[in-house]
Amino acid sequence: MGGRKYIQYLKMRWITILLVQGICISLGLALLVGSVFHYFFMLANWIYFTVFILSAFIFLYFRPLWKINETEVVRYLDNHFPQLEDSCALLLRSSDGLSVLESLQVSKIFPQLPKNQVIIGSGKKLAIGLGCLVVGISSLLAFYNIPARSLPISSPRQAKSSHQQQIENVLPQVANYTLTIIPPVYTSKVSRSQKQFYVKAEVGAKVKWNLKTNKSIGAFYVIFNDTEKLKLNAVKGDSTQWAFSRKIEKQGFYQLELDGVKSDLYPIDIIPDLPVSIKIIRPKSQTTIDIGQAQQIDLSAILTDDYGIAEAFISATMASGKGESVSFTEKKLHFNAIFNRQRNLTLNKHIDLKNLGMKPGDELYFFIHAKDNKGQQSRSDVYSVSIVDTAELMSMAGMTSGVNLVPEYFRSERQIILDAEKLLAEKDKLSIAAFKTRSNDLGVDQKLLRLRYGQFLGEENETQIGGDHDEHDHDGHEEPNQKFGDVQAIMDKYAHKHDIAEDATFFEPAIKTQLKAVLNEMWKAELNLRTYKPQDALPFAYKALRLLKDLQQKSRAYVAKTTVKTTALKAEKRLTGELDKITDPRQNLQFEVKDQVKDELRLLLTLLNNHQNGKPFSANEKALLQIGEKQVIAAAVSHPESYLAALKSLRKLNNQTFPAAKDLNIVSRAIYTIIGKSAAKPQAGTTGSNQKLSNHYFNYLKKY
Amino acid sequence: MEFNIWVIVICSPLLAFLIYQETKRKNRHWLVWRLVASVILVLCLTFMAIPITLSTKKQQKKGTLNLLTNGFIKDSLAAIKDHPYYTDPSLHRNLRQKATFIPDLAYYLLDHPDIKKIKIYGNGLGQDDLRKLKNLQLTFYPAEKPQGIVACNWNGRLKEEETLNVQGTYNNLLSTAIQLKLIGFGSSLDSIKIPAHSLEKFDLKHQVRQKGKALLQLVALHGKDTLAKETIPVQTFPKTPLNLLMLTSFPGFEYKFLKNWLYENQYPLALRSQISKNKYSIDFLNRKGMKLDQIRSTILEKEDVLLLDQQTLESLSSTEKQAITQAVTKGLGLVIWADHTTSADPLLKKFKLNQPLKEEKSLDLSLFNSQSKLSSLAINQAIYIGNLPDQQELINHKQQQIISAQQLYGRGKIIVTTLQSSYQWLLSGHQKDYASYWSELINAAARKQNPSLLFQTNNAFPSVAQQLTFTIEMPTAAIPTVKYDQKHLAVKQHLLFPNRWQAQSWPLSTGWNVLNIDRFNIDFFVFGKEDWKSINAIETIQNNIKYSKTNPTNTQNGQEISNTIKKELSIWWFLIAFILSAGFLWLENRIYAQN
Repeated sequence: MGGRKYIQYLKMRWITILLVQGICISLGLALLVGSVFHYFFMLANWIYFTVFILSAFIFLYFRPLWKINETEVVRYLDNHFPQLEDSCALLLRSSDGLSVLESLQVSKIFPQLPKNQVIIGSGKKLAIGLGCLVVGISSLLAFYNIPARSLPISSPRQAKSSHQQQIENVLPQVANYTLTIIPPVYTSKVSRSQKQFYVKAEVGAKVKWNLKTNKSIGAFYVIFNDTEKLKLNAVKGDSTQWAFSRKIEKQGFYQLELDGVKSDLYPIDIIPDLPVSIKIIRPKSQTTIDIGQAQQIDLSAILTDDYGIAEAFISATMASGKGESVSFTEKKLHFNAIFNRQRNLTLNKHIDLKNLGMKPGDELYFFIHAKDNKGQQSRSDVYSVSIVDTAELMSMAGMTSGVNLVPEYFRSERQIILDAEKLLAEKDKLSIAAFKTRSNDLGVDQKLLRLRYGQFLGEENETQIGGDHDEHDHDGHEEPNQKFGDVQAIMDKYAHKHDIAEDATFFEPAIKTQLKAVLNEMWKAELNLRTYKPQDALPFAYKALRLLKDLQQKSRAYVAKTTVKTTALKAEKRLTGELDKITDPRQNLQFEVKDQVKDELRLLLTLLNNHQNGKPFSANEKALLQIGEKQVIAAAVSHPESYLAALKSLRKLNNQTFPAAKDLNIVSRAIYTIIGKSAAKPQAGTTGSNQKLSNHYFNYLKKY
Repeated sequence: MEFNIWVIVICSPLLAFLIYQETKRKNRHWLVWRLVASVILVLCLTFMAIPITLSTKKQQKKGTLNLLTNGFIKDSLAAIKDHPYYTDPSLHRNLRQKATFIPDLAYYLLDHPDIKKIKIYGNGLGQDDLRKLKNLQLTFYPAEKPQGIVACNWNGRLKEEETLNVQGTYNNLLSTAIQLKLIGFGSSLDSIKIPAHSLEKFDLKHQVRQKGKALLQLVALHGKDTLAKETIPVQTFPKTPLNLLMLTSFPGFEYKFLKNWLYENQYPLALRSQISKNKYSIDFLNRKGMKLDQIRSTILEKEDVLLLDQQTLESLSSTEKQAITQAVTKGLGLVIWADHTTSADPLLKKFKLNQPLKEEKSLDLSLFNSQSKLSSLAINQAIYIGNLPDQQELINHKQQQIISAQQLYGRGKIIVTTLQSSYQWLLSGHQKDYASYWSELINAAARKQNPSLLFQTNNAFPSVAQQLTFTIEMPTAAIPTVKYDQKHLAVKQHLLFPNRWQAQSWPLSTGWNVLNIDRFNIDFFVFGKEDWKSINAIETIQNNIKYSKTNPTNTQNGQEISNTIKKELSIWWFLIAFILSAGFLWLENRIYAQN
């Protein structure tokens, strides 16, 4: 039936119009907002998408497209077209269900159905949508054509890049120019070109200049650092195309000279390539592996480089043996990592000292050696690992001679270790009860030993280590019949009387602390022995013994035996005191001042200050300016960023008749910095001119 | 007068023409009023061109003159009962209607002999004007202390590499802090912040790096606004070399390093160091050789500083000691290294040498005069110097114990130092501290040099076209020839000091000026009239206070007299009347033309 089709067609058309409008508005808005944000805040492209989705949702919220159905269309038609006599709803009904009157009405209104301009304002809706789209597109085009705005300077890196945006003065003869910077291959950076004379390049980069002049040039020179002048040959016969290239190794500045006309000075900055930096996280710089500890170390290091790490390995040196028979073996240990020019690397290496062939008493020195892809080498600090030698501890060498303060105690600790080892060896043969008793006995021995050591530190009871006197309870000592004014009694309160003075001041503080550490180890060994764990007690006992050995060694100084040959004495000259054949040494020296440069710069500083009023320089003064120029050039070669402006201004001063205040200030500042601060020098003061009166006065003062 | 005639000649035909037009007009409505309006119109026009003065009578206390000067407060004008006057033409703008201008005060006073009393408001009158007020009673109502630099001084005549000190006071009346900067050579040399609402002292320092004359700037900045910009003229003179003689009883690091340091800084130095009995090692650095086996007064006369160690001093013969004592009396500086506490020598006995109560592992020295700290030395100091009333400390340890002290002895000075290893500074790379330490000692000791000529301007800020008095001190009493700007100046001898002379002149140009005294050329700087305004204001106020104190006020009140005062009528009244009458004529025509 035609009526229903008509309504459906109308519905589809309505939805389409709204859809087109919605898409246009959303797209237009997205482009507008996106381009503005992109320009001002440097936001990425996702902003377009986000804005589009957001605006589309908002549009759909106000115009719910899915809610448009046939009844809606019918209502619309009835509202807007009176000729349909509120009967459009009949069109939706099937012809079978219509009464006679209804079908009459349908046949009446069917021809009346509007053919054109059905949806009022559809044109306007589309126009709004299209308008939004046009605005969006134009804003996008506009903002993309304006060169991107730089962000406000916040970090030093950005500050440096802002240098590139400084306006450079280009000679009018130069029509076009490009600089191509080709970084060295190892940096794996691609070559880049720029339309700027300021060069910032990696060390060793090749820079190519291509210039086109608007007329043929007779002589084209490039001057580097104001010292090196290169003559260029034209690329083409008509002398308008010029090219030259140079490898950049140092910073400095350069200048173009076209037919005698010199350009501005352009600075050359370099990006240095630093060697690999190595940071070892584990182990500590000095590691001692005690008895009972696993003889292995885990090495972990972080390596960083500017462009890539080419190689890294551990260079290890093992020292074994004692005294004169020390032997060194060197080994190169490789990391299980692939070096593929990474910039950052975390390297781990498990080193088994036994596999390296290390025995107790040996020491291992190692460092990490790394190479970057330029070939620069670097190495870390030297780390060392030592394995404690138990045999050495057991030896009696060094105990038989010299001052021996505490020999028997050392022996005792050694004895405890030996007994404990023996006990462990016999463990299988012994009954559990016997084993426990012997272990406990050893613990008692250890305790006695500890207590005896404790005496050295003034310990008085067995629970304390190192004898902390301050915790003493003085309240219990109070005398019942203390007399008022008894000096001795008051002094007793604050003094330690139960201490033997000799013992308390027996050792230096450093030795005392080490003794305390010994007691600590003994305490742990005792604990394990008493709880029938002689195996666990052994490491502590060994450590205690090692510390005791150290203590013993500390109290000795060792002087090697050497052979000395002295000149033979003349017996007849001895003790005569004759010096007549010896002449007085005399010296006459005049200090030569090699460079007068600073003095000249000081004069120049005055000169610049005196010309602030715009007075022109005389010929003599210009000669002084020339001297200053040499100094500023020297400074500019090493620091182009700070002195190049001064050099430009100084040249301007040389050429202009009337010096500009701005140039004078820039040059003054540079020269002021070059002169620098000088150290104090002695200098006489001056008196008043009236000699007689002051003489009289001062001499009169002397009398008092 | 001619101008007035021209105005009348132009205006009267205009009036006649207007009246003629009015009478000839067809519309006779309000004719009389229109005629009146036309007359007023032309009259107003005339009086706008020719100012009209009215004579008014005013009651005034007899014999009192109220003078307003620069710096008076506008609001207080109403509080002044009698009619005020002013003499400064720069006040025209503010006081045109309110007070009467007196072009010449002296002339006016002659004209009005009845004036016996003068009241001055503001900063006061200049020195020249004050002189004209002889025999008059003066009451001064001073203005407030002005905003800006109210006091300033600096050592403008320096030796090379010396430190310039700009000191003064700043009066900040603003509600925000301001920054005071010393600017020169395109860079900021030193700066200080002056807090809001405060009278703050400032001290700006700068080690001069130029050779010769230079102009620095003292700038007061309030945010980005410049409140004041004053010129600080500075000139440097070459250093004069010091002759040094060093006698030591054995060669040591301390002496060797000092010798090298002095040698490299180009000081003429003679060093005699005993190496064995009657055997000496002798160095002459940057100077000619001479005989040094015996220390005689002829040798010492030419030296500026003599450096000795304690052993040498004690082993000298009595004649040598005598020569040294006499030379010191005449101005030689004596520096002694003391290394033990007991000494029989009378010169060293003056100092109280003590051993420290407590041993310290490091020395933290500071210079007493400049309060600047030196980097610490890891040495154990064995001797300190005790405090005595006639001695002054030079170097101290932790600002308590004295390491070096000085004492006057005749014209010269004796300096004792107990530091034996100052070379440790050089070894640890603190060259500056070593230089500061030895400069302090040698500066104190060095024989004072007699200037060939001393020059001073009596005014701290010589200003252009203002009287300037110079004081010149010559080595002898001979009359100096003083020339300024190609002209000879007359000199006046001081009553007490025959070598002191005075001369007067009026500088004609700002900037550096040259004065020739005998064969010397002396540069001095002349400021512009606008420079140092706040300081000039303060000075004027003080001069006026001083003057008013020396001329005490008489409390008797004179009887009132009436004074005729001419007063100019403001042209604004005429302008209003002119507009009103013209408006009336136009409006009347507009409304009644159709009728």
